[in-house]
Amino acid sequence: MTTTANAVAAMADDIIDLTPKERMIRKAKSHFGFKFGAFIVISFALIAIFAPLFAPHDPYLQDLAKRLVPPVWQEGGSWEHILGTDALGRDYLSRLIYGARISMGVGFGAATLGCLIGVTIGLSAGYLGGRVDQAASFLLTCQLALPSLLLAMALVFFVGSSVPTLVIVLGVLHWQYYMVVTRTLTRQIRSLEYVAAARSIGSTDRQILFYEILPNLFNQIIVVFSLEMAVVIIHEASLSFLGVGVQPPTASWGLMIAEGKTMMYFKPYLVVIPGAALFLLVLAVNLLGDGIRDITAPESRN
Amino acid sequence: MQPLLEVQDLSVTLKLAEGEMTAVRDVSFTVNRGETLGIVGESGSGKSVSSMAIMGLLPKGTRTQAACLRFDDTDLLTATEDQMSRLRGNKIAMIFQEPMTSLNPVYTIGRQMTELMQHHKNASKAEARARAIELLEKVGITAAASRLSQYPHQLSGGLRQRVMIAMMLMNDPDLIIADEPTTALDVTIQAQILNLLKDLQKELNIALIIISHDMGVVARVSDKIAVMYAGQVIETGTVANVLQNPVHPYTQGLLESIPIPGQIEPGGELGSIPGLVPSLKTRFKGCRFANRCTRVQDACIEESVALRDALTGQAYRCVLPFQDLMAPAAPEGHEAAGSGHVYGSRIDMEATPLLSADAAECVFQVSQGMFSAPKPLKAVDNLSLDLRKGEVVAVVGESGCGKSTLARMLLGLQDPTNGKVTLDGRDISAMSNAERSRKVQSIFQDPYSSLNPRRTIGEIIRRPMALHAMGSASEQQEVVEEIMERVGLPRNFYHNYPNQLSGGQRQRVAIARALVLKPEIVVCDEPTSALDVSVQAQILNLLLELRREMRLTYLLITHDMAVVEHIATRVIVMYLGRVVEIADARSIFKSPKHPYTKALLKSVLTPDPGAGVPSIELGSSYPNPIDPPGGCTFHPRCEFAEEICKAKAPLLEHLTGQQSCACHMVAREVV
Amino acid sequence: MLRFILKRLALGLSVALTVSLATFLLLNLAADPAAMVAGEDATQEAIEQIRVQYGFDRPLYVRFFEWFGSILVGDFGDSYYWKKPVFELLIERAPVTIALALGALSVTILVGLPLGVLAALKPNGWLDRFALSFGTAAQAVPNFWLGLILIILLGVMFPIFPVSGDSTWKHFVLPCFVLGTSAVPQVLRLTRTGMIEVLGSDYIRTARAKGFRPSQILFRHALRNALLPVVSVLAIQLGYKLGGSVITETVFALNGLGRLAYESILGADIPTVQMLVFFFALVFIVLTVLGDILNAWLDPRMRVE
Repeated sequence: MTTTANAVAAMADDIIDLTPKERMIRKAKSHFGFKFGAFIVISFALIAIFAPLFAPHDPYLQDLAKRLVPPVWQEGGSWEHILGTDALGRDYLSRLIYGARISMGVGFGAATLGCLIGVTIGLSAGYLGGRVDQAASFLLTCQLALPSLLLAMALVFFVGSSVPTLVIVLGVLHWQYYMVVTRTLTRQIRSLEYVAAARSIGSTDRQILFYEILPNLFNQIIVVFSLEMAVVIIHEASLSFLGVGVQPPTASWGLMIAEGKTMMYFKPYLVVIPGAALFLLVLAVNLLGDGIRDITAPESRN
Repeated sequence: MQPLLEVQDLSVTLKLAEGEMTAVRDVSFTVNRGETLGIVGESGSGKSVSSMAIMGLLPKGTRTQAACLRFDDTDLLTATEDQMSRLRGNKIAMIFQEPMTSLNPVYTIGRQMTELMQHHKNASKAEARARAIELLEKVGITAAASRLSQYPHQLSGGLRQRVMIAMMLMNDPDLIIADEPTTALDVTIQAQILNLLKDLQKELNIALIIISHDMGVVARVSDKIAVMYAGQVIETGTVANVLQNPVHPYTQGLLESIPIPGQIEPGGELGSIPGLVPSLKTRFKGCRFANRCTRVQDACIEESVALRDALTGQAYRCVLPFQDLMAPAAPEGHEAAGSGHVYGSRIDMEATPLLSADAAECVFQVSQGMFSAPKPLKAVDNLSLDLRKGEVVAVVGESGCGKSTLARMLLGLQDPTNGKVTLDGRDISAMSNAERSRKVQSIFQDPYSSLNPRRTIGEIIRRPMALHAMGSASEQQEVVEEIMERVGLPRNFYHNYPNQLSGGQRQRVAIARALVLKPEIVVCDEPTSALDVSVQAQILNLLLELRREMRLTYLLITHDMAVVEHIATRVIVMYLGRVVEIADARSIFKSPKHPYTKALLKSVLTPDPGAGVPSIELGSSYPNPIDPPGGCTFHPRCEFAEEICKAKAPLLEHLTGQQSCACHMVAREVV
Repeated sequence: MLRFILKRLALGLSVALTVSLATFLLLNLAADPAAMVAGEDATQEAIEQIRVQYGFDRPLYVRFFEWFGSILVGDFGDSYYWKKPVFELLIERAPVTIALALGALSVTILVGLPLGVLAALKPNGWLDRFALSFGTAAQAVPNFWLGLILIILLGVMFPIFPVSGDSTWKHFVLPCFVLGTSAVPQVLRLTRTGMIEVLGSDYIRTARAKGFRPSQILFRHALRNALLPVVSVLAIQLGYKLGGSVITETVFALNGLGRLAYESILGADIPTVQMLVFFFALVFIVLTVLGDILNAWLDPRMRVE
């Protein structure tokens, strides 16, 4: 008994590290990208959700008398239309705010759908291995070989474009990254000793998947989610820009750029403003994703 | 004559994310031509950092200070990067621990060897090639010329380490620094590599620094030894002096924590050093060993100590006079713990076995690509064994012998392809998870991966009870706290996470988790091999105590014969999935029969100064289990092999008492 | 080595088969093809007439095997919209896209690789920070918007390069830059991570212990290992650029395959869309197989015996 008693005495206060949560909070506080990204994403989300409260005008109200009013900082601009008006006299700021709904909504929806598909396939492939894994890898190779933007264009156009169609088509075409990450991690974790230990204390496959493996995938899945959301937001804007996404008169940033394109030589703000909003949102989502990755990255043992 | 390498008061300060930390402080030693210095220490003791400082290979931002750091005529402290480059690989060579990753995977062996000579000596391609072939032959590699066009991944670990050694000899260096050169190798290969290093050193009159955590390795090859702890040399002198008359309490403790046959009786309590191996981040005040020292004085905590001479010939770092230190410590001796005597415990060999494997076989289909037909790999081949109440059965063998697969089969985690495993007389694959897990539990090797990083210590230990709905939440918590105390974990760890604990503490958590269901049998898969020596002793003691108290039966899977001799009652030796010898512990260690068992026993390196490294006559590499040799699978490496061994696989034959052996030559009494 | 190549090709073929089936089903089930061809305002009779005329009244599997069978004999069908063989269209439009893709890939390599290597030499140094910020920004810029901004800036305000059409090499400068930039972040990050990992590896420590100088270590010992994963990604990127340049070609009015695809989608030209998707997938498969072979040649561990 003497040795154990000594050992206990020697190590009672010997905690060598912070809890995972404490460590994450500490890292998050000093991570600029994370803070910046989170701030912008949350702001955009709030603006999108409460668009009617933020928008100064009705985004669909046409006023031909006030066509192409420039933004307030340019000559001829007014505080009534801070970001000016478009070719149909609609308030550009209001359209921008309502456009955030489309970007955020489609981005979030499609990323969620892709997440469900990809994580399910990845978990099964990684955990079950063997033939399931081979089938999943084959499916992945096929998906990678398909020109996804082109296929998305064709499908959305053929089915008839609407926001739900966009969400479904983009979601179904963006599961690969989730699958690859989930599969790799699941395989790694499956071979770790704590899974063997879980089995030897009598856990079933289900209990191992949900109690031991999934919680350890959570951080990485969130990282992939944000990076994929950024990709989907750009894809939605691209489709709308090409005229096969969101249809007029709905406000979408991609569509606004397309509409402004014909006049971009004399009214560049029509293209610059929605593009800048798109850039800012995608940048923020990416920074947030990178930030989460940095914050949750395990530290090396030594 | 001045020494070839002189290091005096070397201090190294590393720049890490958390700030600066002094990894090495006031380290001094010298090495002469033809002399071997052994540096021994546990993880974080600064032994590798010191050697990297000599090589000038520490990362940028590191501060190296010393009163003197001189190699031959070069002052290494003031040498330019250019001068250092000319020394490295030329005059000073270094051999690293991981032969698997230390060679560049995309270039041939030949290119990696010849470039060294072309670079430093402006040698022609043909000259360098000839030299490479000569050296490969010297390190015992056959068909040397054809090896030059091979890539590292085509060679086994032992061969790669030989290539590494040959490569470092290309330019006739004066000093070789070998950092844990055999740690990643199997025990039988370890002896070969050490012998090779020693022979080459003698032949070429090289100075050798060998760095290891293993007292045995250092004791067998060195002339001088430096024991490091927490960045300092705490004792140094000739090997004989330091190991036979250790002065410093740490050296004493370290030596006592190694199970040495003959010095401590099997099953007795090992002397272990309490507490944790300090991490680099620790801020020290006073003597760095004070918090773990049994002889700590007030003075130790206040002031740091300088290295001073003992009259016995060595220098040590402690405030106490050496005469006091060398007197035996408190009467609390290890003989007193003899109640744990393993050999003497009564095991009823007639009783029905708790757990048994009956002609169990496990075959994996290893696919080597999506389209090639998978090949069968017989991980375990026709293996039968019985485990009776109170036994400690050890399964020993080198990596790839199938011992871990065997463990998984016995735990019911892997169904045998043929044969069966029975637990309490019932087929284990027919038992429910709950039933099985209350009888058999396991402890794993790597305490870093055996605990789920997202769960608290309390959750982890409680999980088995929660799974099987044993008692209310508060009852479960009570049991958990009780068992935590029993395995030596403070209660306040309940809400901590695994990353906050050290390796030894984590292993205690794993033990607690295994015991919380009160199983009869515990399968321990290399339970101490990832731990530091002083911590290994703590865990072995704990396992033995628990066995007595809870009347546990252990199946111990390991490659470490010293551990086996210390705690096992019966031993099974495996080679390529088959049992080659099985016997009670006494017979195995007193009169081993199978040539492989003998080789394994011979390869145990006790810290025995001057004993040298035993030469082990085994072919260089362990065969690939996917393509085992025919007949007796051991015959290509066996010095006694005859025609029949190539033709026919020997059966396990009963000899005397509990001893059985599978060998044609033993059966014919040739061996 | 030969067996390895054959195996990869067999895998590629089965992928191509699956992909063609999937494309066929998706496009034919997404909407009533007859109604699509007839156009929005067509009467029910007109739709029925087209259904019979184009053979859409026959079961799906018959049409699939007919289509697939004709591909096998090299008949790619006729375009409904341009009223000529799809194959001819393909040949006509391909050179522009190939030029664009190769130009863009060069931009990606010339910017991404050196920047990635330089960034890895001093992690957290100013160059590394710059490279990472550049990567993050480039990743967030929508391709089409970047194209438009460049057109406004360079084409109109400072007219250096032509902004529309594909008659001279100058026409390709801006599109190649835009399309090339989009892949820079991925290549840059991969090169950087790979390089950092390799520079921290045991065998680089060995190389340092052998007395090689930093520049020798970088070029002779580290570069090849670090670039192994990049090779596969470059193959994939080239595949995407050959198939996915719809946006760039549209913005810069290049008459390539991407634009052909765009026009045929808007024209409900099912045979052309189908053919293009299949063709792009095939190109992608061939390129990844080539990438694998190149990788196996560079990395001895990949050469499975």
